[in-house]
This record gives sequence, C-alpha cells and structure tokens, in this order.
Amino acid sequence: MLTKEIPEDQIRKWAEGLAASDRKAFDALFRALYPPLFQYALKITRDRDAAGDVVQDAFVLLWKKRREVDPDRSVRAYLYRSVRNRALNYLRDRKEVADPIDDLLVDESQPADSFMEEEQQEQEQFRQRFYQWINRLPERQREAFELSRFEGLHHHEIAKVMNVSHKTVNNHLTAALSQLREWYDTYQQESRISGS
Amino acid sequence: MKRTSEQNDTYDVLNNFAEEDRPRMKELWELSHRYAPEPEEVISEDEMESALQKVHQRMESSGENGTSILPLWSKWVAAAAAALLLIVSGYLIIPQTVSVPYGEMATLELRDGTRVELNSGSELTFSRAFPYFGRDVSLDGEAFFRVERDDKTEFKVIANDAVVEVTGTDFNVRSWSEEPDRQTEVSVASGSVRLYPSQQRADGVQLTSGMWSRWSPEMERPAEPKEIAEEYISGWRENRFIFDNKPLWKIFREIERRFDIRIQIEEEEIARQSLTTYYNDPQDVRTILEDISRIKGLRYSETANGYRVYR
Repeated sequence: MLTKEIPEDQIRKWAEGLAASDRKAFDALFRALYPPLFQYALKITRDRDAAGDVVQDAFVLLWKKRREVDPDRSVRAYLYRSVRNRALNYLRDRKEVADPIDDLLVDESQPADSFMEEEQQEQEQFRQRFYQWINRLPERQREAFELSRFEGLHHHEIAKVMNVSHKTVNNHLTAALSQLREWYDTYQQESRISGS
Repeated sequence: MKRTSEQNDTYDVLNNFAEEDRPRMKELWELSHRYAPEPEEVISEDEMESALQKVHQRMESSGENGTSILPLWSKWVAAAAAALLLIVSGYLIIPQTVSVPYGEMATLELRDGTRVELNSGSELTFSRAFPYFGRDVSLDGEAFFRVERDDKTEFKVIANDAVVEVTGTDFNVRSWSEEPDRQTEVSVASGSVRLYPSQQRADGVQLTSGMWSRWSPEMERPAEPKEIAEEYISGWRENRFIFDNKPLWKIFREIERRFDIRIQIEEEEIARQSLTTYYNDPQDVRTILEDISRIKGLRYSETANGYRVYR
C-alpha cells in the first residue's frame, strides 16, 4: 500500500536516536512504519495474528540491535527485510505455501457498481487488469516492482530487502516496465477497437 | 538542483529506454505508483498502540538494560551449557551456502571483511564459524573477490579440485562444476595469488596483477600465466558480456544464467563453434542472438521459456 511519504532524513534522524537508545525515536519509528509493514506482512502470511507477530518481532530485534544501527543505511530497508524473511519463515514452517499469485488480487468477480460513472467503471476495470499484469510478472521482477511502486521503497532499500545488487534491482524494474508496456499497448489498442 | 533519491531512481530506470519510449514508460511508472492497492484490512490506532505496548514489554524483559540477574551456578547449568555447546558446535559444522538465482547478481561481505561479488547462478559455501578456523570458501560459478588482508591466515577459494590461495588481493575466479572440462580460470586485478591443483600445491603458478591462468583436472599443472586486459577480468560485474574465442555452448550457458532463460542448441556441431563477442550492457537476449546467428549463419526461434538455435 502507498504509505504517507516519510522523508528519508526523518528516518535517518530516528535511526540516529535509536542508536543512542532513545525510546521516543523508537516509538516514532514504530508508529510511522507499523501500518505499512503490517500490510506487507499480511500480504505474505494472509493471517492477521501472524502478521502482527512478525512485525513486532522485527521491532523487538531492532531494539536489541540498536547499537549496531548505522543511520547511513536505511532502517526502513532493514525492517522490510526482517519482516519479509520472518513472514516467509512463518509460511514455510506452516508448510502451507500460499501461492503468491493469489495475493493482492482484488476480487475480480465483484460487480461494477451501477451507480458508478462510466468513466470510473472503465478506470476500475483497467485497475483490475493492471493488477493481473503485475501478478503475471516473473516472481523477482514482481517483488522488486511492488516494493518500488506500491511500498514506495528506494532502489538501494529494495536491493537490501531482496539481497541483490543495486544494478539487479534496476534490471528487474526495467524488465518489468517493458513487459507492462507491452500489455498496456495491447490493452489500449483493444479497447480502442471495441470502443469505436 | 539536487535530485532526491526517488527522482534518481526514476531517472535510472527510464534512462534504460530509448528516448522516444521514455514518456510512455514514465506514464506507466507514475500510474503504477498511484495504483498501489488500498490496504486490505486497516489497522486502528488502538491496535497499533497495543502492539507497541507488547513490544515495550518485550523490550524490558529482554534483559538488555544491564540489570539481568545471574543464575545460580549449579551442575545443572553446567550440564545444560555442555549440551548447548554440543548443539552449537554441531551447528557450526553445517556449512552455509549463498546461491544467486539466474538473472541476478549478488554482493556479500564475509565476516573477515572480504567482499565477494557473485555472478548469476553461482554458489559460495563456507563454514558458519568463518573465519575462526581458517578462511576457506568453496565456489561453484563465477565470483570476484576483494580479500581483506591477513598475513597470518591465507584466504583459499576451492573450486573443481583447484585452489586459489591469497593473503589479500582482488581477483576473479570462474569455475563451473556443470561444465565438462571442470576448468578453473583465475585472473588478478591487483596483488598476487597462487593457483594450484588441490592435490599438488607445488605444481602451482603465481599470478600477479593483470595476469590470467587456468587449470582443469586433466592438466598436469596450470597454464603458463599470460597478460589479460582489465575488462576481460570481470566485465560481468559491470553487466558487460565479453567472450574471447569461447565455444558457443559456453556463451549460451552464460546467456541462460544472466537472463534466466533456456537456449536449446539443435546440433552438437553448432555448440562447438567458437566466437569472440563483446556487449557493453545488453538489455535483451534477442539482440545478442540476432548477432550471433548472423555471424555464424544460424537461425533461432522463440520457445516457451527461451530460444531454440538451429541451422
């Protein structure tokens, strides 16, 4: 989900506070990042309780390791990575590998609201289509793309979360974008034909 | 004006496209940001505060505030400690492996400060106790090492029965277990390294900056070191694609790993032909295949997961 944009220097200030054992900084960081991290964990675990636990664990560990926090490296990326790995472990331990393809997919069968303006309907239709495209992308491309576009992470942060180089992130995003463009072009051509 | 890192990121991505495509890509890029899905389940302020409470409690009980009470010493504690030691040492014996998926590259820093860049599809294995009982790592694939200097403990890369031994230097090792010749190629960017068959240290060669050598199990000793241009040493790290007189099957394997696709070669004879080729930052496989096919008089067609190359 799209979080309220949190300026990088704000996160950095909190990280500095954290390294100095400042509880106020910790709480502020928690309040700012708990909601998006919770949604992110929920998307992976599909379980509210598990998502809450996973995110809380990540923050407890962050506090334990606060003296090692380097404000020059994004604490946000560290938390996303920690939440991601814990959530995936949770899935693995439950031996129930949820198919990530189903995630995020908003119910397609939902009937279009008849009171919706036609234009709005069209837009809603496109939006659904767009999510389907995202889900069709290769796994790693999709993850990089969602972290960038949906979670609003910077490339250096995505590199850390996915444990790959900055260049790889760039490659994934470029590949994702050109694939999306292909589908987008086809879609627009089709709707032009059917619309005329 | 200084760009924010968000703007930099956008610029980096859009820059990969041809000028005329950029507006369209920018449109999609921005559109997808606006289309971030709404939260499926909203958490209330109360829920968040209660989560914070729980975290606070666990922060107190973790004994991190310096006032944890020492347990009374007893033989039970000693027994438990011994059992724990056993478990921990058992755990330490299990090696740790880092593998890089096809289509990606990875950088890792080992505990001694050594940096390792791994090419697509490569695997690095080392002890969990690294570097306390020696600095040995095993490699299957290709990696560039920037070894932290330590004159007391040599750093060793073990690959396909070959050993590369150094104290502190920058060098590239390429050694795939899947390739039939099981060849290990070493090139040095700075400092010096020793390459030798794992059975015969005395049969090794010493390589210095700008030198290259190779060894495979059917050779008695490594090839006489020769000079090599710097870009050949590890062009892959900059996403370059450089092959100097290499058989097509090796080139195609590298393409498969780099782009995470499969290439079927129809005839054995095609696979054995060799080629010299250079790409600065190839973005798509098609261009490369197109060129290779033209030069070698081959044809190619798309398959479900890649390409088929034939005559």
